[in-house]
Amino acid sequence: MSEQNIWDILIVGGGPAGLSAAIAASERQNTKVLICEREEVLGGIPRHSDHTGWGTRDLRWNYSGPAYAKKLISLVQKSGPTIHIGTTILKIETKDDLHDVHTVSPQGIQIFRARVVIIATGCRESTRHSRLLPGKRPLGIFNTGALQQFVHSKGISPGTRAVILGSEHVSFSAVMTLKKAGIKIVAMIEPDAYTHSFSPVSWLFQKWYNFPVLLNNRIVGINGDSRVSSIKVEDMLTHQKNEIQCDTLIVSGDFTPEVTLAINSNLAIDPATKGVFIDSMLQTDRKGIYACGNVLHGAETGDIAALEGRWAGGNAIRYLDHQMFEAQKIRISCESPIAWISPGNILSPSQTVPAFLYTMHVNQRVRNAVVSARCNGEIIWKKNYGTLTPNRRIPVPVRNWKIPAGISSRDLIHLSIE
Amino acid sequence: MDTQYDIVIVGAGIVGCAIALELSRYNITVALVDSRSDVGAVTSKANSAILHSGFDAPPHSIESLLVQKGYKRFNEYCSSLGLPIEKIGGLLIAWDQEQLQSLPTIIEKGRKNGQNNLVIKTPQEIYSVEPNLGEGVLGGILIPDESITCTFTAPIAFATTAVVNGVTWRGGTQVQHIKKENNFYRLATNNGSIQCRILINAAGLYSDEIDRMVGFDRFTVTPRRGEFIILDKEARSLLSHIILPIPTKITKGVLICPTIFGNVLLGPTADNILDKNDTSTTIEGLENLRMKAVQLMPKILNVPITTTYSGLRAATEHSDYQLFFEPQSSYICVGGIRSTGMSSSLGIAEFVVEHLSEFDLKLENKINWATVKMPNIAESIERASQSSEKIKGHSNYGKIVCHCEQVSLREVELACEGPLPARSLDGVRRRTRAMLGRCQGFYCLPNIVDICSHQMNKTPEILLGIEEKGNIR
Repeated sequence: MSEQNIWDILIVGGGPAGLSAAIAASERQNTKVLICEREEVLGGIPRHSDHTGWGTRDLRWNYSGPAYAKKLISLVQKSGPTIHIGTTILKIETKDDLHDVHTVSPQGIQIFRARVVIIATGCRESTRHSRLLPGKRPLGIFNTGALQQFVHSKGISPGTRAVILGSEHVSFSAVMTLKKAGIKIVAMIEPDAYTHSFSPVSWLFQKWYNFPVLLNNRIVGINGDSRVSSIKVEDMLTHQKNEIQCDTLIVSGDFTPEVTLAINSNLAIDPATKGVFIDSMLQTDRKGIYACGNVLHGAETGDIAALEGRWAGGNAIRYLDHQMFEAQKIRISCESPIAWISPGNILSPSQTVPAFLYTMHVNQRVRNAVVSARCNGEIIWKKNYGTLTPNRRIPVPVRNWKIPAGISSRDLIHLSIE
Repeated sequence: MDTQYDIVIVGAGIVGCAIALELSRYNITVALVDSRSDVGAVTSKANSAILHSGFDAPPHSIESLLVQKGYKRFNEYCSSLGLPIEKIGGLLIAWDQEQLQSLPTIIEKGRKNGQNNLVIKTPQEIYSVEPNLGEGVLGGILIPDESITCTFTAPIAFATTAVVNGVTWRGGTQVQHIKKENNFYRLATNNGSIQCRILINAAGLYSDEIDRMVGFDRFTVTPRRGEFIILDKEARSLLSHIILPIPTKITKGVLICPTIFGNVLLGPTADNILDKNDTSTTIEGLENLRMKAVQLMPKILNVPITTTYSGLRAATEHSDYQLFFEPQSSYICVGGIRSTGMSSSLGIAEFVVEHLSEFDLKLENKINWATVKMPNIAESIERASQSSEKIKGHSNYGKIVCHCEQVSLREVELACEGPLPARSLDGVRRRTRAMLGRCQGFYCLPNIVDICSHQMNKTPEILLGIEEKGNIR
């Protein structure tokens, strides 16, 4: 492969993270950028998530999902990268700091060589099976993602009476989509004692769209032969069981990063986030391969994914210009109920990172939570967060941590709730 | 007017399809009838997909004979039909003293079943080939011939070959009554009446009911439900053999094995149930499987779960198959094929053809009989979307529609065409692997519904099981 056939930056995925990485990368002159998107159009998830709230942090404007996707695409087009749609990336093989990206498309099986690869493959909701929901396997069980594609992209109303499992932000997004499709919402089921989205949202939606939220309830059966006919729920406090007539079950949220490409390319996975392992520069465990957006962790909002994309794109430029220097990674270990922190490490010597970057999640609700970080027993940071709720973004101001000088990869930072 | 055939086979599971395949070689008229709109859509699609060598069948039983026969034929036919087989071998593991002491008996039983290549292995030998097995292996037996195959492709391959060679496929046809009139049977169905000279009952879970409709009362099918967990492809590198349990008096035990799609399967449970339609998974069953994995291979507990399902074995009160040849009544019963049906299917079919000489029917070979090769959907063999040649031939082979399983648009289009086209999403799933992967349709389902809607000329609502608004099918 001749020098001119080498891409400077190859971006995998054309959602908010990938597009924002491309926009950031365009700041560098004479840089060959290629975006590969497996779908026929750019834009990713926001295209069929037709509600407002997109773009506030990155574009400082409140867009609807489709409008946000359109805006990002127009910004990308201005910056002029090459775009390959309908192109699936199978794996990345690295030799001598160059990355061979194996692709398949209607043009055939091709290998693209790049100096930098940015992985922005996003995430998906966990399935009925991975949650071990028992019962039959009729048609009519969908994730929010499939529901929204049916309604917004295909104009198909995939049911008539729906039960929603989960109470995260995305679960309420499903409420709006169901309403738009004219599907009656029979109930929302939440195994925990509280809803995972903001309480006012939950309260308003129940009143507005008129459906009950069954807290402390779990699904103990799915009935129906061809199509869902009912689901059986159990109140875990009273052990009372109820059958709810419906033809649709929306299994919402509980996002998991789409790491197939990373696994096939032998990149490290963070066991806590289940996303691609990265440092605070968003570099993976392989030099010159970066990752950003929801492939790093369960779903953050699109604007956070976009900000991560910009950070990865900017770092890719610095890498190409040989401005990145070797640093040691100091692991941050999390004690339950803290589920994970992303990135799961800090770099030494410490480097300036953007304020939005570090996020943590908890696995259960904690009231009056005082979170502290310790290094070798010494408290280096402490913050009173009030109430912490699962599946919600909890920003961690790592730039305020008092990192001891001379810290090295042998040290460990311990994050816990007091 | 009634349609008339020389032979009608009731039931298009793996056994009925295999019989149809063998009968399609001859100059007779044959119909394959099933209440489902597709072949292999009930028990034959929901099992462990292991091709058994027959080492542990009850010696001298019909089952033993036919599993051995079937295993041999399956291997002979696989390349011409495009059936994937991986002969990865089984490892029977002893976890306690009782099981360890039973090993010589199992070797002896294998010998009686014509399997002379079983070898006892020490724990060291076992851990050296299966280092991820849980602690406490006391010994085991290697069964080199145990294989895995594709339980989806097999019945479709058999039936497609049968149809191409003249067998009539009548899906969506439920037999309601059977009446013997002079020298023919009249089958009343939801889809009109069908006549035949010889009736073959291969109705699986319903084989007892068909047997009674003909006028016998010899056995009752009590479905034995088995629940399964399919683990993510991550788990595939953790094992290389089919890890078999040693059946004890109390339980048959849970196995763990690779699948032909590159996943790992854990199961089955075994519960006798009453409802022949109850393919539910249960909280207890799935939890039970996970507890079993703690001993078998604790590492797989960290691997994400791709899917769960349950299948019903057509078990009866008898230990052996319920095979009856009744030349007097022009009737053949192939019932009670419990858990070895895929392995024995081609053996059963051959056995049926042999016995047809006792019946009043002349079998002459067709001149232009040919098999049909199925498209490959196994992981270890090159897939269509991995072939530059295929994509050059038709660019839709390069258009991936299901990314988890790397299924191309062309494969989905072809699944909806041909002699035995898919008529439902499940049919497409079993012909292509689409929607069977990690995301279970999170990403691809709406698009595939759209594609199938055009290909099958059905509305998306019908494909999704909704007839019209407010009217659930």
